[in-house]
Formats: sequence, C-alpha cells, structure tokens
Amino acid sequence: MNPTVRSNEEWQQALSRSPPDEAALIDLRRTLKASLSKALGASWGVDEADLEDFAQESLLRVLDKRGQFRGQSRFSTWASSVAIRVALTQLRRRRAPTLDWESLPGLTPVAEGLAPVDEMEQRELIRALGEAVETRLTKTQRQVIRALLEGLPLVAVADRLGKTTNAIYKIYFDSRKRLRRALEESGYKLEERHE
Amino acid sequence: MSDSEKLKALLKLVLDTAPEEIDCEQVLDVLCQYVELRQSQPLRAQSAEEFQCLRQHLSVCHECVEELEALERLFGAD
Repeated sequence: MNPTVRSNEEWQQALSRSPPDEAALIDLRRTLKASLSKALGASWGVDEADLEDFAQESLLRVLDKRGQFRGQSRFSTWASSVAIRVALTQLRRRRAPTLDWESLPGLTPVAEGLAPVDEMEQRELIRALGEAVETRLTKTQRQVIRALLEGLPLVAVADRLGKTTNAIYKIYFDSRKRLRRALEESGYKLEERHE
Repeated sequence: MSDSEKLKALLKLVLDTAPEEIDCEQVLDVLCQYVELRQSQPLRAQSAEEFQCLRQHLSVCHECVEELEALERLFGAD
C-alpha cells in the first residue's frame, strides 16, 4: 500500500497490532527516511548513513509515541515531525560547541557592541538586564541562560545538567519571566507583546 | 558575539516572554497542523489567532523555528 494513501485510522490500526503489521512498518520507515532526506538533506549536510540511522531511531520513537498522536494532522506529517526532531536533536548534540561550565563568561554590558544609534533607554535596559542576570537568577538559571547565549542547544544543556530538554526549557522560561519582572520592578514599562 | 550583543539578544527574548507559554513538546502537534493548514490555504484571521501560542513560542525558541523550516522544506519539496 502506498503510505501517502493510508488514512490516520489505517496507520493506527496497522501499527497497534501485536506485532505491528510488517508492511506498515516498512512503509513507515521508508516514509520517514524520504521525509528526512527532503527536510534536512542539503541544509544540514546529512549523508546516507545518517539518514539510515535517523530513520531507524525515528521509527522506534514514532512507535513509542504513537499513543500521543491526537489526529489533528495527517499521521505521516506527525511522524515526519517526530523524525525531524529526532534527527535535529542528534545533529545539534554532535555540533554543540564545547563550553567550560565552571567558568562560563559573565555578561558585562559595555559600550562596545552597541551602535551609537541605540537609544539611551535601551542602553539602560541592557545594563539593568545584565545586573538582573547576576543578582536575580539562581546559579542553575544563570548557567542555562549563559549556555544558551553561548550557542549551546537545549539538548546539550540538558545532557550536561542531567535533565530533560523540557526541564531545561522550563528553567529558560522561568528565568525570562524572572528577568522581566526584575526590569518591571526597576521601573521599566515593558510593552506587552503577547496578550 | 560581544556581551552587549548577547544582552541585546536576551533582552528581545525577555520582552517576548509571555505569562504562559507552550513548551517544545506541545509545539510538535501544533506545528503539524500549522504547516498543513498553511500549505492548503492562507491562514484566516481566526486560524492565525489559534496559532498565537505557536508564534509566541517560535519567537523565543530558535530550535523549533529550525524544525518548522525543515517541515516547510518537506512540503515545499513535494
């Protein structure tokens, strides 16, 4: 059967059998590999061996997460998005820069790097933000923020701190909220960009 | 990137922070719907509003932006 013409229900039925339908598994693996090739090929410079590895890992992940599919898109789109995340996570981990965690650089706002056209208020905001990073965040929050600003992907930060990427995202979110509150408490009127 | 440039980047992220945000895991489902809808038709105002949480997440998470771009390449290549 052509994978593009399977309905969501047909995918689910075939994959939920014990053991899963062999033809559906072959179709799914083929679909995932083709999707990864189109989605990542040239931009991420992945080769055939990478595609094989990523397709195999993605197949297992899709089977594992199948129960979380809510049917709000085509199953093949959802499975491809899972595969893209699996592959990009591996590629990010592979390409992550090496950081010395014990001496992550501080953030010192200086005139260098700021264009002369930068308004006075923004200079002040940036100075206050630098201060808030040092005084209002916990050690872990500061490490996460600094590591992300140094270009480390979430997964590399998660590996280093022994946490999940979602836990790191939560720390990143809480840190931003705390910094925003610190600026507001310092008297800055920040525009509400998201209602 | 100098410290000041990093702080400018952080300032943008802080300004884009919402009181409640969806995380990368929750984005996965919404991303598929968003890409399929955009592929089939321009987003209506109502749909655009429904995807506000996704847009907000994308403004603070460049990794999910990379995943969106990869998904768009997948559909664009068809």
